[in-house]
Amino acid sequence: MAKAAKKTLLIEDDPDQSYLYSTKFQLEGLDIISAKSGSEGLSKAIAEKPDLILLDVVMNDMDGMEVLGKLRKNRDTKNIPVVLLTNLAKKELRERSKKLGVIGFWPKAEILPQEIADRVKNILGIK
Amino acid sequence: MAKDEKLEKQKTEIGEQGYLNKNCWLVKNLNYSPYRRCQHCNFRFRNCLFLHYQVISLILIIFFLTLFFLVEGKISTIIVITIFTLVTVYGYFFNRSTEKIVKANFSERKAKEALEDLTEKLEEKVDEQTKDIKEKNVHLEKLLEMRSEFLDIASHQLKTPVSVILGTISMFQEGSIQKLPKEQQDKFINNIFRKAKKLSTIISDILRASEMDTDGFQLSPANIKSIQPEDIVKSVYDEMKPEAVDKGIGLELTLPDKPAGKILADPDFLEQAIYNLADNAIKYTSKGVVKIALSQEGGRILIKIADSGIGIPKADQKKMFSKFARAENAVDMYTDGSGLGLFIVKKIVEAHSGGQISFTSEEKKGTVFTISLPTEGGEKR
Repeated sequence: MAKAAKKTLLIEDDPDQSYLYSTKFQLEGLDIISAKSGSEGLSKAIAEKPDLILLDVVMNDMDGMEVLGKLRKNRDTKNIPVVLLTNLAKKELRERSKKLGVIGFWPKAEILPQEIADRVKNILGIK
Repeated sequence: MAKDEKLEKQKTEIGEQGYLNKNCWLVKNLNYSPYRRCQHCNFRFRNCLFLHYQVISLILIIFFLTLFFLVEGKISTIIVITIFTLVTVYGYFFNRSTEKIVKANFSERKAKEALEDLTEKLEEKVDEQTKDIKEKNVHLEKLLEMRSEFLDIASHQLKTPVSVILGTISMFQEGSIQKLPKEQQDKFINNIFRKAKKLSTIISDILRASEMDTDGFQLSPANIKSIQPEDIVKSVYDEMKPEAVDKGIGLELTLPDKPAGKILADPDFLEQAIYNLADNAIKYTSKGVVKIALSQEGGRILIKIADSGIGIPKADQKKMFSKFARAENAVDMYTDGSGLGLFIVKKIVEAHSGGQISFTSEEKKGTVFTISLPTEGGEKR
């Protein structure tokens, strides 16, 4: 039986950015699930158990750091690799997220969608 | 009466000088103090009358004995006179020398006291200045913290639209968007357009705030028009409605039954002020309703924007109109706020003649902002 495709969950509350990355990932043949708020992302992470989570930080209902904390506390999601996809360049944020086991801190304005897709493939081991 | 006054005066003068009298009983017992009084004459020690009585009585005895000798011519009388004279002279000189020692001691004591006093004053002054410097330092640190917070937020706000614009254009360059259906291609173009517009708004906000950052900010007279306040409030309501709906909160508009009085205002600036307040109200309210209400009270128009949001903690209420200020409970919310909104609102409202802005707020319950403007020809408080 063929193994199911690896899933990436994108938690991003800005519809324009979400549309941009979702489209790019689909064009690159990646299996992408998108959530448009922190709380939606959390429930989708628990339900779908993705292989990677791309997490925005600045969100209205529940910010990325809160989502990250909750993901780490949940038995089902605590081992899912998380990358913070944010333009917030606070040093304190980087340090705090590192402690919570984040595997990457990618500034959206500096990394183009193609490179983000390549990095995701690399992490998921897709060629 | 006059004698009493003289005595009082003398007492005061002597008291202040603080000289001591060697013959005073207290001085003899080394229990002196410039502030204590002689127990015999109730004078400060220097002018203790006890001494004077002694000297005067000795002189009188010598006088009477001399008189007696002149009348009687007895040798024993001369011996008695000589002894009395010696005692008096000795007493006088002893008195002088003791006085000098006591005086010297006292001067030393006085100097020491003066020095202690001076040291105390100096210490007080140093303490005061140190406190002042510490306060200034705390203020500067707070300012730096606010600036760095602002830079973090402002750069995030600027980079977000940039990342969409750059990302989309890069996909156009690769030719990947061109492969998509026309509908999706149009959506990308709309997204870039919207983000470029937002970028322009943020930049204007930052520039506007820095332009307003002078006490002399004034509205351009050419832009001040006689307007119906309902029009502006209605326009903000229409603009904000979709945002509130998206967020799942209510937005209500209350207008007076009959038309309100006209106001003299810069419509663009005033609209921006009301927009900023309504935008904040929606931003910091997660459930409930945001109410925009226009009313007239005598010669003034009141525009109230009330929310049921997080509220502003008491400790932060004073600083809310300063640049980059964010309430403690809003710092971690990572909302769109640049920390410039309320600063701009206050500048705009106060640039209008007779314009006032105030707010009341309770944490976790909500905030009510009130803009008050005089009607045309109304009261300018």
